[in-house]
Amino acid sequence: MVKIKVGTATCGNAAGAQKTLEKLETLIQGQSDISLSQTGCIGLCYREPIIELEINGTKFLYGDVDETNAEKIYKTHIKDNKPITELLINQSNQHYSFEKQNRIVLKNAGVINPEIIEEYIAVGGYEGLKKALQITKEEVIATVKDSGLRGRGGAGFSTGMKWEFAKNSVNDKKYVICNADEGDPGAFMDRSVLEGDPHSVIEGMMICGYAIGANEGYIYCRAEYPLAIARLKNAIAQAEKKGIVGKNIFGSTFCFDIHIKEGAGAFVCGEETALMGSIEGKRGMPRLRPPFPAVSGLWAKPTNINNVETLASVGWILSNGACAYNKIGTEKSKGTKVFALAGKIKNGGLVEVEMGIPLKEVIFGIGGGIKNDKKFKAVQMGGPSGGCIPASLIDTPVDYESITATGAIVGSGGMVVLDEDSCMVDVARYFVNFTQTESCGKCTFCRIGTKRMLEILTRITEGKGVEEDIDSLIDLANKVKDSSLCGLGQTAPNPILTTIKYFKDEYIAHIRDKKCPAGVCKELITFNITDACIGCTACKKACPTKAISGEVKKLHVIDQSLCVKCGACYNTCKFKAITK
Amino acid sequence: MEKELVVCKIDGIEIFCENDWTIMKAAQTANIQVPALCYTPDLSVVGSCRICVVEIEGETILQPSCSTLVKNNMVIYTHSEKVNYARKIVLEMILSQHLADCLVCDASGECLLEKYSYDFGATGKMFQKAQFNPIKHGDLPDNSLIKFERTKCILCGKCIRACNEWTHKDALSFVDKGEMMRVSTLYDRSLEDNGECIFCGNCINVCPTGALWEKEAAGKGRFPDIRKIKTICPYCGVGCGIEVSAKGNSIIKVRGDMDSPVSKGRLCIKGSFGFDFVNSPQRLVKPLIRNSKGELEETNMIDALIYIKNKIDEIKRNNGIFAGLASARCTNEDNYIFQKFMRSVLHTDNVDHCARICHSPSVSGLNMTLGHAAMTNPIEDIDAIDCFFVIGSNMTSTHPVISWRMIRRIKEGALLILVDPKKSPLSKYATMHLQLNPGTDMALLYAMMKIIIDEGMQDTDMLNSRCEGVDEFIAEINKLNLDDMIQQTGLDEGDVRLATRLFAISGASSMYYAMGVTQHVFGTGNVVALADLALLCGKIGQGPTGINPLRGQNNVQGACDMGALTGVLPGYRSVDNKADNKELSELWGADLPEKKGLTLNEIMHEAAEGNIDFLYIMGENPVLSDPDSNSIIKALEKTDFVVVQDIFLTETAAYADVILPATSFAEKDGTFTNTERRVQRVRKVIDPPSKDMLDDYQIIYRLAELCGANWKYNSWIDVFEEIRKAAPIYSHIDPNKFDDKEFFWPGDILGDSVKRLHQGEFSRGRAKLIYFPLPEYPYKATPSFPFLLIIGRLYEHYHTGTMTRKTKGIEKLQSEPFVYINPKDAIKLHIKDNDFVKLISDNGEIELKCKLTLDVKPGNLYTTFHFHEAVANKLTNKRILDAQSKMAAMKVVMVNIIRK
Repeated sequence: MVKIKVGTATCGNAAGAQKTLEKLETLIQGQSDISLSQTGCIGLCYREPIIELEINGTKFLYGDVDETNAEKIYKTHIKDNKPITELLINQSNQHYSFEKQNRIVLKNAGVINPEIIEEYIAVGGYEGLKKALQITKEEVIATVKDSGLRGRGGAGFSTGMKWEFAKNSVNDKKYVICNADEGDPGAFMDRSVLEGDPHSVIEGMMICGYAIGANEGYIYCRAEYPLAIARLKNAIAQAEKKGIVGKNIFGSTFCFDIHIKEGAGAFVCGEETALMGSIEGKRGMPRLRPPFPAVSGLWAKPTNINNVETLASVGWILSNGACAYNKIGTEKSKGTKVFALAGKIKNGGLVEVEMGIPLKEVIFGIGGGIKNDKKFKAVQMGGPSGGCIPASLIDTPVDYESITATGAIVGSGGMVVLDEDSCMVDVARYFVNFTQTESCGKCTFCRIGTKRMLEILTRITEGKGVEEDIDSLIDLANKVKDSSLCGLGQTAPNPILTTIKYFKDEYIAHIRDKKCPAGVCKELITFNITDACIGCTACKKACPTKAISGEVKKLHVIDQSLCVKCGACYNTCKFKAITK
Repeated sequence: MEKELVVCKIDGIEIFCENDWTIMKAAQTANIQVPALCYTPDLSVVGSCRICVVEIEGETILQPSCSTLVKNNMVIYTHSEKVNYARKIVLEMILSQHLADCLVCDASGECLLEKYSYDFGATGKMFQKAQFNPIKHGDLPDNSLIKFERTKCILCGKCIRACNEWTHKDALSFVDKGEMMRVSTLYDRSLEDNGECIFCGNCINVCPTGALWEKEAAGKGRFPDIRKIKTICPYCGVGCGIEVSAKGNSIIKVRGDMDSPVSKGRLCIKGSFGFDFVNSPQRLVKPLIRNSKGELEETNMIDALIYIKNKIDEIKRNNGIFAGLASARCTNEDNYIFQKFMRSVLHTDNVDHCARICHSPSVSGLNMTLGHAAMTNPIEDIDAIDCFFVIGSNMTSTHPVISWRMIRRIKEGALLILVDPKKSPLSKYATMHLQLNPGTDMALLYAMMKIIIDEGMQDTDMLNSRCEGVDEFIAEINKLNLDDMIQQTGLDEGDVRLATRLFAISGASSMYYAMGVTQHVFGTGNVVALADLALLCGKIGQGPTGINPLRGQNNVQGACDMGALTGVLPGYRSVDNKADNKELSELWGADLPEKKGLTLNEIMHEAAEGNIDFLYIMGENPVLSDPDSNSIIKALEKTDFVVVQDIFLTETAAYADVILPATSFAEKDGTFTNTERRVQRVRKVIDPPSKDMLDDYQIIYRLAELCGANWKYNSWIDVFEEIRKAAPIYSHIDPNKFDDKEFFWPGDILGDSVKRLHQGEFSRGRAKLIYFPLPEYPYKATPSFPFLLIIGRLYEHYHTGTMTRKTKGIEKLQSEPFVYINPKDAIKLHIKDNDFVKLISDNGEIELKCKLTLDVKPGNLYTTFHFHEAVANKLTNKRILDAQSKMAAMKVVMVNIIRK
């Protein structure tokens, strides 16, 4: 008996998993001893498309399985029973061992078929909910509190306490909201969970609903995640059919319904009060707090709002007990955290690690280090709200307190790795441009303050900066941080403040020397051809503006008036004859 | 949240506050001014501008005072160096996006951005100035009333909130995000085309800069050349406070008075824009006398008055009959003097005014059941009501500011039972809309009372301890047949039953009604039935519950209070009551008529018969407003001598022998009494257009002096002091204290205003339940007149249009009359939108355009009486009058509709 699973999450599909799937379908047609199914993202996005082969109880995980490789695997491994080692990622009898990882949230992603509820139940799904319904609300909350679970959306507030506040609000109607409006550039943890294990989120919401006394839930999912939405819809429909979502769940008096609300593309709607406004059909703009959502949230009813990852952890905590969870992690940060590794890293993808693991282990251990073996410069954590942690702090343990101390934040879990070719001023400018565009525009500091900061940063990257710019940036950044209405504005200056803190010399180089050390800022770089040129004409052919002239086997020259600084020549030259 | 007393210290001053106060509120109580751009009391707090930040001891971050609550022992600094610098940064940021030029801005001098920039030394030079962006800063398509310059907008969002929270509309919204965020309309359409804007102008009023402005006021004047004077809106009976800006002798603009306890800054389109009439070139400035050729000839005031005086003498010698119509538009002083002149100089009780054809059934009905004829509750009681019973009132059009307050309460959870044959903007807020057949109100009310008695929902305490005539009344109700009554209304029994239960069972239920109840020949019966229902359920005389007739005109309540009603002396005393008569004849030093005279409709009827010799009309336009227009014209033609005193040459003035130019509300001092019995001060804003012009009361006063009276009034205050003596319900009102005190009538024994009537005891002692026999349904369609035409009002226009139609912008929005018809009927008659049709009643016919709408039921039609182009009152008649109030059937008339 052979089982084949194809990872068809968005990352897999983007790499061509659908074609692999189709190819395999045609290959196995009519063979009843070979089954083919789909699964979510296992986290090794750099090797997609990935397929899993299970032959007589042994699992083989293959990467880079395009149509050709699929045929190869079919012929060589399935038919001739010869594993192809160069494509093999992992081999196991039961579970894959993911070195240095501990999978709680991602335990089912890439393992089960997310479109079949029975598979979720078969691996212990909805056990947590069953268990919760057998104990009192107070006991559920106490379990979550004891587990030490903190909000995985970014702020890291105690989930149990949040639930307790909502429970203590007296009202005949309460809501549970799952915040699946994952908007940080470079973050895709929530998407993978929703695509790979949607039931875990539903289970978490229902446990929360039972604990706080709510009977209705909303999943606010960004519309840019069509696959996640489709899988969620399917999961809810299946759970309803099974009587897990709906009335009198598992024979109890507890009833719970779940709706999906698709966002309309505004980043700020990930802010909880803006999100609720958006569900209500209003323009998504943050509201003043207090009153907090636990007192007056969606439609002015007490509301508990948690992020996808937080809710996905809850089922596991209930079935395995608070102790099992709080054993993991550091004193104040318990459990595991999923990170999305992106940027200039070798093994880009999703990892789930125990809190407290050193940053170095994540980037160099699991992540495999920097692409092309370049020099590691910094890691941007927490998206546009976060900050840059420099190479010198690579030993920082990954937990809420330690990361915050560096000036960055754990945030939702995006890690964008930067190498020596990244200009830190440009990175700051990129993120401020993002928050400026995505600011809802409500409060003065966020609307105008970010714009003014962006102008200064742009000025610096264009070589028009003046010495005072750094001080005015710091001053303005602190004002925006202190005085903005919501989290978006309050954290928007973090990329600026951390880059100035750790990479002030780069700012000074831009301003004083009119140089971009990393060679990124176009206005500040000039491409020149050195004597190392052998006249191969490759750069001449690559130049889109015909700025390079020179005869074969003779030194080439760049006409600076025509050069648009695209870097095509630099990337083409095999002899390192072009400098910038 | 339980309230606790907390003490905080702001700028060194200890302030005792409650724990739900914001720092802003606490500071205001100590008169410490904290700047604010996005904050206005009475709008939700958004905390977005960040200019109101303050420093709190022990906290590193500055906190916005508009949204931070005080805590015990909090120490706050509102003007520390850190705070002032933060504010400067905020202002510099805003100024960097503010592309306007203060040098040529209308708002300069009133603009908060300008003021704060000065206060905190912001120059707009700290940051790079933003570039003009046509999408963000460009103009929206034009409209005729409101100017919106987005280069001046600071995105505080107050206009959006005022639109949404005050008027419950969504004409404006934020669109786009980040730096591109701007205030716009749906699909960037013009305000006229977006279907939501009602041009109330409240967005202009709350705008802290000059971004939103009255189109016509732009460039006409600014501080310090303009002066602002607070007075009262001259339109409907709500009595909103207005702040009139004038330059020289012209009104530049009008804004809602934020300090008005009635309206708190809110206005409707009429109050915000309907003031072009004051400076209109069509104003009468010279008296006109009709010469022997029948032409009107200009003269001066004294000659005109002597002319009238001579005529009076001549008619007196011939024992002719005098009659006069006072005005609900004029001040209390004007009306008081008018009726005093009629009664004590001309010795006639033939004095009346248009209240006769609006709320006279309320006067008769409520007097006979409760003892006072007015709203039992102040407008502010709306905020405490659980269930509104609104019957015969199109209040979003006629009393917009009250309706908005009611809608706000409904949004908070109160129920609304709406009884109206036609759909109105209020329908969408109604818990139940009983769309009954026109004129079947009494059948509905009796059906409700029968259900209450059947189901035992009556308030026996109220009935036993505070009412009389209970057993007889219940016996009569028991005799009625529920099915017949419900069938007459055309409603579903289940609906009626549910509505009845909601009204009877809700804690604080209150009734609000208007012309739909009164303008019938059984109007008094309708009002009495309403009072009976309220008494039966105990929803009156206890806290915020009550029965509230919404008065139509700015001073119709006052005119009634002043005795400008046949048989009614000031303060609702009777001409035929000997003691009352004696007291006033002593006060006035003249004998008064002892018998009740003729009412308005009777005067007109007699005049048409040639039985009236002298008719003095002050500020009314009966040709358009009274039933059976053709007969009014005939009456005016047949009367020997007609004096019309008005601000315009109205349709009525055209038939006068002498026309006297009067001053408008903006040119006079005095008082108006609004619908809730609140007496408010009217202040002179500008001088009359001509020096020869006098206030209404002064004209009559001078005429009286010519006729031999010796009255001696130096100012309106002298008149008011006499009113206090003549009308005991006004005796507690000190005319010198309007600036700092609210006055309602009546006063209690301590001299304090009584806001709620009938608390503890009814004005007449025990309230009386009265059974009026259910009338035979009068509006039965016949083959020749198969449609029921309902006559009502538009939001944009007021009464006969003499004032609102002078404002170009308003006139552009609603420039012609329409009759509204249900598409089902229209299809049968082959009528399309905008077709010309002819409406024919047994009294006359008019031609106007037709509009199809689902708002009216099949078999019904709807039109308005604002337009002289199609005088709806040509269709009405006054052949039959209500026995008690002499009201004619003006609300519903049977007609036929024919396509032209």
